Amino acid sequence: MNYNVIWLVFTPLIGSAIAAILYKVKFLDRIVTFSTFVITLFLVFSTHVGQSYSLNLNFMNKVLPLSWNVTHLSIFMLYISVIFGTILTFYSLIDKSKMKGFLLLLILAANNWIFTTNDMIGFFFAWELMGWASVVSVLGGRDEKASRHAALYYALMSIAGSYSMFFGIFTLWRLTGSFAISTNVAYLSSIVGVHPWWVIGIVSLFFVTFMIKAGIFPFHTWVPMAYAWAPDTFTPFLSAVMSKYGIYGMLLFLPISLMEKGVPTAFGLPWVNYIFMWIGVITAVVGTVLAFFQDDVKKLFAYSSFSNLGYIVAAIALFTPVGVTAGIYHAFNHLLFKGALFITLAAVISRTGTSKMSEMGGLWRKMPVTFFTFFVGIASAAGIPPFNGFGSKWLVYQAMIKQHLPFATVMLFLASTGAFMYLFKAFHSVFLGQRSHRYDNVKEVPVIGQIVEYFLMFAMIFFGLQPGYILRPIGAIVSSMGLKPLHVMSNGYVTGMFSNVYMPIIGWSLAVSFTFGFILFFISAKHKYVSQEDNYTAGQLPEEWNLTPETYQFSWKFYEPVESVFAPFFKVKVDGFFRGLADWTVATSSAIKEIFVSNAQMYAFFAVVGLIIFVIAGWAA
Amino acid sequence: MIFLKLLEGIVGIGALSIAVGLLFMGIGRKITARIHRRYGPPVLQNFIDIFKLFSKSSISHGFAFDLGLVAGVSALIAAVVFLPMGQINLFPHNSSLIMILYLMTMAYLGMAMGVSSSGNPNATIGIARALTMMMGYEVPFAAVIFSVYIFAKTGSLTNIVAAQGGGFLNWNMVRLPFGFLAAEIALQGMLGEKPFDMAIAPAEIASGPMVELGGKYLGFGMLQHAVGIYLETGIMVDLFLGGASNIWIFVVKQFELFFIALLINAILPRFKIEDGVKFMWKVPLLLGVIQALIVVL
Repeated sequence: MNYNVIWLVFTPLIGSAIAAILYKVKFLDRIVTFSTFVITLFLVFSTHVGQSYSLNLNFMNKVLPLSWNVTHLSIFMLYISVIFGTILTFYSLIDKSKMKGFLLLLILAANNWIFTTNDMIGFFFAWELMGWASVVSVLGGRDEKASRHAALYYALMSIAGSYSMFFGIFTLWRLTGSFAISTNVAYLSSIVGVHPWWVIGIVSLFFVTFMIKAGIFPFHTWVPMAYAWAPDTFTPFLSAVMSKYGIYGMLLFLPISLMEKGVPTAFGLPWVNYIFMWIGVITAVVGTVLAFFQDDVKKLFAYSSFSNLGYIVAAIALFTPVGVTAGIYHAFNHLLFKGALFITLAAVISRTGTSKMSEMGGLWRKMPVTFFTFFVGIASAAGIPPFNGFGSKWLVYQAMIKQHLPFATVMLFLASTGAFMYLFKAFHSVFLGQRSHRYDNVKEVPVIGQIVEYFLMFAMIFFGLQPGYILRPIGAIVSSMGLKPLHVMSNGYVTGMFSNVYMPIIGWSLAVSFTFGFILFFISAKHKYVSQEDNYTAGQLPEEWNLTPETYQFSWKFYEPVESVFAPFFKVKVDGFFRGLADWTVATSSAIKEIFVSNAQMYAFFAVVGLIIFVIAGWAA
Repeated sequence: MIFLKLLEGIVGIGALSIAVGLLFMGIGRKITARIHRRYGPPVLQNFIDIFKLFSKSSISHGFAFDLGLVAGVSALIAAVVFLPMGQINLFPHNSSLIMILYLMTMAYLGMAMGVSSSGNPNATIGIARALTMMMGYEVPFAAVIFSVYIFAKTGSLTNIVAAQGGGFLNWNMVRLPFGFLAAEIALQGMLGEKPFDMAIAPAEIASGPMVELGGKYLGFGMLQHAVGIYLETGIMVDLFLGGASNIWIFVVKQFELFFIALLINAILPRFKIEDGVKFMWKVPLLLGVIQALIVVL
């Protein structure tokens, strides 16, 4: 019995109660939130693999066994989520948005519960707690009406997911009589050879939930809305940490390896895995393409998040050592760089008051620290070595090629090139180009924000240069799943199947070549600095043309040519499918309602028919 | 130890790639002129230009402008160091092709950041066009790369070169002809030669990214182009022409590829951007897909 496992859940709950009492005083609320995160972090430090705790709840004369068990995967997820949460809550000390600390702490409690629980009842409770706390957190964005709409949409999707999981849990319980996740997964993998369709059906009930939470195609429609309209300091948590719950759930169920059981395969993969891999690839490509055309910067990065989760899903769906390593590694990298990007965006939006890219521009002189953090963030997100996003993207390609899947790999490569494009669009529209005179008095974020930004910048470079610090724990996870982990030569290496990359050497190479570049820069002829108005305008005086910085900034219809390339695909709308489903449901329900309210005779007729069916059914049984 | 090797490597290989790149550009101007029935500038004109540009005073738009332009050259040179070229192969265990491609991206990001921070919309339109075109040619090129990966069962350029040893018939150019053709067309886009030169279309957007560059900044831009030519043709030589046994043969092979690109450049007009991308996704991608199918099946 290790009580600190259960304290991981209770500490945030207590903190949440205190924060809820104090929520009117914003600063105290933030302080309590931050200190609870710090205490939880220390609790996580004292948690070790193998610790467990169990508890029998007596519920209406039925014994509900609740159990906690810390695995390699759970400790990894706990570390990354709680450390990121601590950084975020430290940043939110200077935040002025309407985010409520106690909701974040409720999510933290659910977070720790999800990652440590070993029974599906606890998993479901924690999942619901997390879902509802995050739905309420989405309320209170800058635009109240839009955020209410987004929260409602998100809530509906969450409920759909919860029903699906609930159904799955009780189907499994009927079959095995146990709620323990490990027992059920073992049971499913034992019957997969006999009843593959049953297993696929039950597992997909769970996977629908996980895909909704992670925002995988075609369940992604809530992602851009909720990310864009959530409070600016909540979006980093939503994107960096909460999207990983779905991935965690998938990793729990993926060890039902269909590989050796004689299930039909496609291209060397069980066909279920093959289809799931393609879902990931489609997610990556669709997210990228949709991200091109956004004007709201948070929406752009929401699509980017969605696209990156496609990478993770495509990699873990292979369920090979490289694939799982690459997937978890990309989950970590995505957490780091997307968290950093959303935090810098929160900083920018807090200073400019808008999230529309067409209204920003040229902020780099005013916010240099934020600018450099954002730069490192997009370099990581684009997978540029030696920053942290490279290793995992590279491993994803290796995993795909190992399985001889060139087309899926090319699609992922397209998503990656496209990622570079939309990242540059955001970079240019927010930080580069002409600065409007509205922003002449914009200042850098306060010191706390700068500390956070420096820290994140450091982390992105450090984990890029020393990937071993992450790859070793991932190796432990991979071997705990019964796969052979990748060999990690030293902290600097990313070891793939086809070749190795020694990251520090790339860093050194860049450092040396930049030194020479700057030597050349400084020994050559002098330069003088000019203002942004001192610009080539084809010999015209800007005043004569009423040219203002706003009109001389290029950020509208940035990739217009791409639009015509992708035009055929824009006719398909997944959102439209869900809307159609909603309309259909309304129509059907009102048709059914007609039976009850329109005509008494009709109602009586159906009632009698129903009664007869019941009687016959009861008699037959 | 590694540090000293890098120092030597970057000075030596940097100088080599710049010299070869500038020479290629000079020869290119001469050849294009002769095709157009002009006399053309001297072959060493680009060296003269570089010395002129670096000795002229210039205007700058701030530290991001400076950093971006320097990054454009430096990151490319940092990538060239990992390229096996003839007997010069500094890091044979660290020459993953994908790594080199992604490292090149850093140079483009630097350049893009630099010229866009000037605030001139022409520059940004040029960058947006260049990135769109990049999405066009990277897809067929990726198809070819992954075919080569699967075919050679390795991702390291050193091993890809080693696998092509033993004569002309072992070159990937002969073994993977469709992939070679696709990569050749992609190379045309990579080098920014016609018909894929929308990014710097001089008559439309005032030379695009180069619009605000002058003096040493234009010099850095020119150096980036030179190193870019060297790196991109070098990758092609390693991938398809079997590498080389020494650096001279390597440069000659690079020049062959550059020469073909020049001839196409001299006679063709410019695509519209979307047509360029669509072309890349039709002809070369089809060739790349055929090659991938042949390799996988």
